[in-house]
Amino acid sequence: MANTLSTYTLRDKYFKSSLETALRNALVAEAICRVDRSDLKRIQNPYITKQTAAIQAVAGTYSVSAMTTTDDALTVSEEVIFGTHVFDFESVTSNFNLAADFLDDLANSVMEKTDVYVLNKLLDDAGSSYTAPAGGFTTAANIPVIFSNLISKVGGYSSGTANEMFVVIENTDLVGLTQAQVASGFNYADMALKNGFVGGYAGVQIYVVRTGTFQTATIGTLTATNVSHRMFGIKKVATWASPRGMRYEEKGVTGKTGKEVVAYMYTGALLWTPKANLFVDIDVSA
Amino acid sequence: MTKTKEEEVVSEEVVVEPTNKEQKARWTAFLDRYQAQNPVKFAVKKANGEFDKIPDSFIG
Repeated sequence: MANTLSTYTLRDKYFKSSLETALRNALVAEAICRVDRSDLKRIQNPYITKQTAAIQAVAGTYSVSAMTTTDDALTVSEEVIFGTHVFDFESVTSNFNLAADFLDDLANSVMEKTDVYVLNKLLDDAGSSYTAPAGGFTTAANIPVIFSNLISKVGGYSSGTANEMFVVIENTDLVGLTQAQVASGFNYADMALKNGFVGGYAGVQIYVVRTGTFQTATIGTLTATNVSHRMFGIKKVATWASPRGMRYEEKGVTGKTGKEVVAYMYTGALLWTPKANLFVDIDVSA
Repeated sequence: MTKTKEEEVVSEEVVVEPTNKEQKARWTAFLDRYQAQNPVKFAVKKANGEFDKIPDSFIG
């Protein structure tokens, strides 16, 4: 016959020294953008309108053309912010450092939202477009067709296929892609899903974000119409500005014990106008 | 069994989908903002019929 033991008679241990967190999304903006963390409101990048040289029989004469320059600027327009309050009675009696653990989670939430903004902003800036065959990335037979079409969109430029190409897809797209990779004999089995990077296909680096990342919604000051769209491009062509990166504050406030904690980030992103055609807006709605 | 004229009218009324005026107004305002923000892409997406149906995930 078993003994009757009270709750505190039995031995417990804590799995971790910090609070466990909910599943976190992969962050890919930093991997595909040139990141600027200088504390500036705007980054100016005026450009020369493309000119075409003349070719002629040797004569030594020429006509003089006027050059045109156009302003282009990235403005840090968004603030992503999230805060909470940890009362003293909560932190005093907790087994965990609540302020630190909550702040870590707030910061991650801010970063996830920033990632969504950057991806949707750059996709809206994309100058090329491509409509995928019915089934999109979820149909294995489409994969070589899609990738070959995407690569052809950026081929021939001096900053085209010679540099690092990437595609950002949602996790639901992996169905067809994984089948295609396995069927093609790619060494895929050992590839870890790390920071959304799941290897490559035809020289294109593949980043995976969660379904719902590409949105038709208002995201800060951005009006995005990107549901059923995906993004292809060349790495380090677009710029993501995040002055001083992730910021946080921990402060006492009037009328409450304990500390208020807040994580925030200023952000802006731009695909520079002359380079817009190096990004492809992929329509997978069919 | 043949339906009376009155029964047919009733069934037609049931088939008509309820319209969410508030959501449609939000969608229209949203598209107006997008047109102002990116008129080139707005025209392309509109021509492709992308704005004919309000996405299920749209909350405005």
